[in-house]
Amino acid sequence: MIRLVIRRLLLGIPLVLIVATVAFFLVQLTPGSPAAAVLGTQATPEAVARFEASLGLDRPILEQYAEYMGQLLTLNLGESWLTRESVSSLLASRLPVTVSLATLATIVAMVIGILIGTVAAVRGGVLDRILTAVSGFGLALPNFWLASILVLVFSLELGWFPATGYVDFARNPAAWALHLVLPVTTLAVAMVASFARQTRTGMLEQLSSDYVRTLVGAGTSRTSVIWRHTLRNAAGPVVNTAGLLFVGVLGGAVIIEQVFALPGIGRVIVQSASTRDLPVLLGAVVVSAIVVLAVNILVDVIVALLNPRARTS
Amino acid sequence: MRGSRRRSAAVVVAGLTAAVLALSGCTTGGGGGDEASTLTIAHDGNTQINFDPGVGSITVTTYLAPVYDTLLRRLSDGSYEPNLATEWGYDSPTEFTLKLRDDVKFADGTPVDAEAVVANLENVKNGTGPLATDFATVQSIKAQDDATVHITLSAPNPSLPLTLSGVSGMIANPEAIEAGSLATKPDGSGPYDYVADESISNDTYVYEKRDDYWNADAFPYDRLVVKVIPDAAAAVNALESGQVDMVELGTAADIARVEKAGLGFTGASNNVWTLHLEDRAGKLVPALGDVRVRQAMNFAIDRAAIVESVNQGLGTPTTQLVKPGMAGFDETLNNVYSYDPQKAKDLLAEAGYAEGFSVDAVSISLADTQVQALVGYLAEVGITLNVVNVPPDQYIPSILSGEYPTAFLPYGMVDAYFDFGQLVIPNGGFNPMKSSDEEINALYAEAGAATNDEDRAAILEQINARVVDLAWFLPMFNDAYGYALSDAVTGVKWTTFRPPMYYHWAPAS
Repeated sequence: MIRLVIRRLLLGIPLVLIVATVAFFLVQLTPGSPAAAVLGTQATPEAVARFEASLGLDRPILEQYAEYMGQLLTLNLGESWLTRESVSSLLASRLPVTVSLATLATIVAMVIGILIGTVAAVRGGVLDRILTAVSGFGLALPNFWLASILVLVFSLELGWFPATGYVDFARNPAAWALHLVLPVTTLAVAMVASFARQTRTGMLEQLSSDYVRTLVGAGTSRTSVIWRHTLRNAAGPVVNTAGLLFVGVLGGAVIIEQVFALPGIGRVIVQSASTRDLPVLLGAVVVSAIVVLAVNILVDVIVALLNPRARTS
Repeated sequence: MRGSRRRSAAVVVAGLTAAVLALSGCTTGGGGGDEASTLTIAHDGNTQINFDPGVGSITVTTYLAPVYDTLLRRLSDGSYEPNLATEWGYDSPTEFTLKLRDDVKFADGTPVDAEAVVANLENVKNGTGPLATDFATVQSIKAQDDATVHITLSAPNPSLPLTLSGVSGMIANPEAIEAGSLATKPDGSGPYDYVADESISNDTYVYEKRDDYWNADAFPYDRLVVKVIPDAAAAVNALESGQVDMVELGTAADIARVEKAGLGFTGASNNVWTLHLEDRAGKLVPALGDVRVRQAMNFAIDRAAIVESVNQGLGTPTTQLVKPGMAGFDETLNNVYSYDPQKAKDLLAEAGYAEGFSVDAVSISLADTQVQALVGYLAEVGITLNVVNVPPDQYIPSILSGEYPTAFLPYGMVDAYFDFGQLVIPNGGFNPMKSSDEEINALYAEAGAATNDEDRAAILEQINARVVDLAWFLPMFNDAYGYALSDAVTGVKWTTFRPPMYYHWAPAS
């Protein structure tokens, strides 16, 4: 198991460097310059030259690239061109927002989705069709629309939850949870269906297999058969789904961060892209890549724990 | 068996319900308007939040105004009031002198004196920010004595008081400028201190009142919080639910929503939505070279109907770029081009374009509704306006490239002298095809040399009339822009500067 993790970690390092390289050169290809974005259109050529010299942008591109990669290898993400903040401390305050959001949404959706999927598979019939339809309906709702409706009802009408903002968990855990209820609900609603379907399919497959019949024949309780044995075997694909959906939410969170004014990584990426704040943009891309990598490793570990056969592959 | 499953499901549901109830029982921390002495405002964060005034732009004012004093203070009627400077004025069109207060100090005790002011103005002039252009005509800045600053210009620039009442006139501790530490650690003499520990970059900015501030009565709030909320709808949600006390708004739909919710709104015109008829010499589209054609275009559109239909009734029709209340504005000019499609057709026929013509207009998709209204009206008199939408970051460069005969660009004048310099003078930043009119050029030089405001205003009115008469633009309407407020705040005055300066804002008592 430890060998698996170490191998995956080592494979991750070149991957992160490739992502950083591609991101670096993609940004160079976009039209417009940081000077134009910052100084406006009426800047004098002298002001542009001063600005570019102050950031070292007047040097050859490969030299800038070499410097950036050198920094990256020493885990230094540099500082923002515009605000002069350290990129790592900026991202350190941003990452928890998006990761809280994505993690909670994935967990909530997974718990509800597994419940629905299992009940649908075990009970079958009309209940199965109703549950599948309801969770499918959630998938069909556009999340920005759902977010607006939730704010309208639960913030503006009922006043139960704050309409916008984020509070650090360390500062006030209750306020942290309250601020995340609506955004997490918005994201989770769309994910429930995927979990439910995955679970239902897996459960149906497992329930008709020989070992289940053997267990039932041996007098194992129905609860134990379903929740302990069958679900455990059906869980592998569900965990893989969780990994994929989590990564999807990480990317899609930008819209939800916008609607709920959450200072997450999505906002950083949008903002730094529009102002061409290259160190911040690259830092956010690299950190996102690392998170995705970590999640994938975690998923592999969980699958291996659930199913010993997967450990050797 | 079934029973136990039901029971465990019931336990889960009960647990979740309890958790939600427990959570909703807690009050949310950090909301605005709870304490009478905290003012919480929302800002779209669409700026580089760097506390060095030397690299600042107008849009960063919201974050800088609490910590820095400006040299002058611009009031909502466009006049100026003393702030750090007690007296100021032009000794000649190219000589400007400021006299300073002698009792203001930075936090470390360094006096706010003439040397400090010189260091700051030099910081902006030599800085890497967009406002450096404001000082393009500044030749030298000298401290004559501790309390007197003398500015020499290479050409007349009557806009200095305007410049010195904004970010370019904000005074930071010269030692911090020297140390290069201002970007993240503001050091000014303003009414508030920035509380870095409680602030979260690009999300929450917290300011606390300085005990020893020299003009404390003008800033009644003990604490000021700026929340970054990029999305206007989210900001209005925050205002409606009491999380913030003030939001800056600029679109008709948002303002309508605020008014429907019974919240206050105070504002003024920000932009004049305008099709700039750039090709006044007819280089690309010969028809535009004929003044009758440009006038015909102005007669062809029903401005009042456009305001009503595409801008939800918000805004006022106008045929001039100068905004009401601004020096150079002339109400009667708004009657020059009343909606008259027949007259438009006659003028086109007279100019030899009875069959109409076709012309490109560069624009962005954001403005599509308004542009399409224009397209419809112009089509009725035979003119085909081909709208070319470009991506936002190529919008201004495309307009300035001189490759498009017309450009759809909402333009918000801040000062008619300054903005005419941009729009109608041959080397102006927003005159891409270098249109030139001898009468305008002569009047503009005269306005620059005028020694008092009344004379200058009269000349600016003449320039305005000439520009309207030549139909260099096709203005549609003045939009509305302003502050939506909770009823906890009073005394908010609109200035032609969009960003708030917090001066005399007070809690409702």
